[in-house]
Amino acid sequence: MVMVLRLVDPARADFGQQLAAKVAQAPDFYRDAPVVLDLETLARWPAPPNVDFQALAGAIAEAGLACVGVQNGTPHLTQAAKRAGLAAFPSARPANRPNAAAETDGTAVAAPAPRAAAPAQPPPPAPAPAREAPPAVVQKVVKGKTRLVTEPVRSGQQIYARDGDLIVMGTVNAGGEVLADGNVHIYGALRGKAIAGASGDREARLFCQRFDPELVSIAGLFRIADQIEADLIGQRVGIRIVDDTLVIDRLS
Amino acid sequence: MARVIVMTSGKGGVGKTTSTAAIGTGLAMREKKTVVVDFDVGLRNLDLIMGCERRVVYDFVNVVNGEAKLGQALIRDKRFDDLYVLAASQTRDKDALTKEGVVRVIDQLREQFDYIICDSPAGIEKGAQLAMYCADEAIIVTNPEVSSVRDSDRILGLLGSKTQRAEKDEEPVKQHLLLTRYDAGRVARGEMLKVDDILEILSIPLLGIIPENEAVLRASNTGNPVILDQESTAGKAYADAVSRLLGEQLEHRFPAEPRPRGFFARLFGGAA
Ligand SMILES: Nc1ncnc2c1ncn2[C@@H]1O[C@H](COP(=O)(O)OP(=O)(O)O)[C@@H](O)[C@H]1O
Ligand SMILES: [Mg+2]
Repeated sequence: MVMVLRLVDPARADFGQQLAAKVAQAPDFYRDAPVVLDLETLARWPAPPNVDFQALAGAIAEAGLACVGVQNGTPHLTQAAKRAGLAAFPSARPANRPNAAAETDGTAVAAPAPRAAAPAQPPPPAPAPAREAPPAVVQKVVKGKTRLVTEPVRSGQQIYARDGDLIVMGTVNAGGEVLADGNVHIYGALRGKAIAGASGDREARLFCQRFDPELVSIAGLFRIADQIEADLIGQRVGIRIVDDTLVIDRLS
Repeated sequence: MARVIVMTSGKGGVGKTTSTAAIGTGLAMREKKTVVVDFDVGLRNLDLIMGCERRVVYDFVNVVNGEAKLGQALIRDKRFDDLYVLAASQTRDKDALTKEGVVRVIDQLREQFDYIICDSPAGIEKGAQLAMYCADEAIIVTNPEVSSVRDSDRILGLLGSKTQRAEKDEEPVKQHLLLTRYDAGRVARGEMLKVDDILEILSIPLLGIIPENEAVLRASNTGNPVILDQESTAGKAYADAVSRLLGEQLEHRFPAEPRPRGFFARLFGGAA
């Protein structure tokens, strides 16, 4: 999936270091993960600054990620980004259409870029990390109400319920990915990635009938397979945030 | 109405070409007018397995690019009047095919044939996507191992988005699972995945289980699709798969392998 980094102060010299530190926490997940820079904060500056997008993209690449585009910029900022070879993603509704950057190499199609987990602090908030190239298939994004998925979610597919809950009747297979701004309920096995509270809602919860994930995340806190206790694997679980940590409860 | 069926897998070397030749021949044996089309441009394999490699003059790429007429490129099988081969080019590169050209040629084939079997190249990129683009049905060829199942899962996702049927929002491509190179001994020893586990992950109906069988290699070397060897386990299993493709209800048998009672009943009832 696409990671969104909110750019707060382009002049911060330690941007690259911060990013590298973040990536070092879970190198496998971040490896070559596509990054979209959110310019919303900058756009609200009285006079939006000049940004050296080329240098930023370079710093991001150095950290082992791939900057693919920007969103929510002013026309001026967006133009500058385009000149640096970045794609401009439509603001607010970034999903559901092929990503220009991915289209040119003919392989993958864009993933929706969930809004960054809100607090406008120094980058990167990194709501949800990713390991592989963006999923090849992106399904419809439905806004505001519960989204019901009756087919299995397959490797390379991604489903995003924006502003609402997601219910998956079947399995989420390895390499598949489900996200919701609200809660995620999976009535089959979870073998891929599941992300609840994708826009930063820390009250969101995640449930599944058979737990064997690649990654689970709520509001930017995440655990990868290696960080999950072996005795939880195969169990029915519920996941929530308690005191800034992800708690995985076995359900009887 | 013609049925366009893509033989696809993601992973290479799982038995797509073997299965295309066997099932294509099996359909012709049942008097269905059938053409097997090799989409694996650059490798050109299917004509060898079909035993017609010395008769290739024009190929699929020539027709797609308008360099030859369809009738000039269709090679008639020497054994069955209803069977034709459209070979791939060995000399062209992978990008020689265009989507428009493929659609045009497949539409032409639809007018002449009952079954059009498209042998996909490996991978999930352009070549594999072109092979599946026109499909009405897909046979997902899978070996009982994790990487193959994973690739099949990925291909199933693509069928739901990268095909003409998906683009036009028509009824989705019908999916069949063909488990090939199935070695019951290795499955029993836990070295390969069990049928139930594969069905649980992929959750599509099972068309057949083709055992690992040395008759396949023998068949390939002589250019006689293995379904012609009805003494062999693989030949029988392919014949069963053809019957199921034609709508017959048959039990799944693993020739010559002991198995727990009730297993088939479970498989048969649980495949949907
Ligand atoms: N059921 C089988 N038993 C034994 N060998 C097989 C079987 N099916 C395929 N093979 C062998 O596996 C190899 C790959 O088969 P092929 O049909 O060319 O795969 P693909 O077209 O998917 O790359 C070939 O050498 C073939 O002879
Ligand atoms: Mg092949």
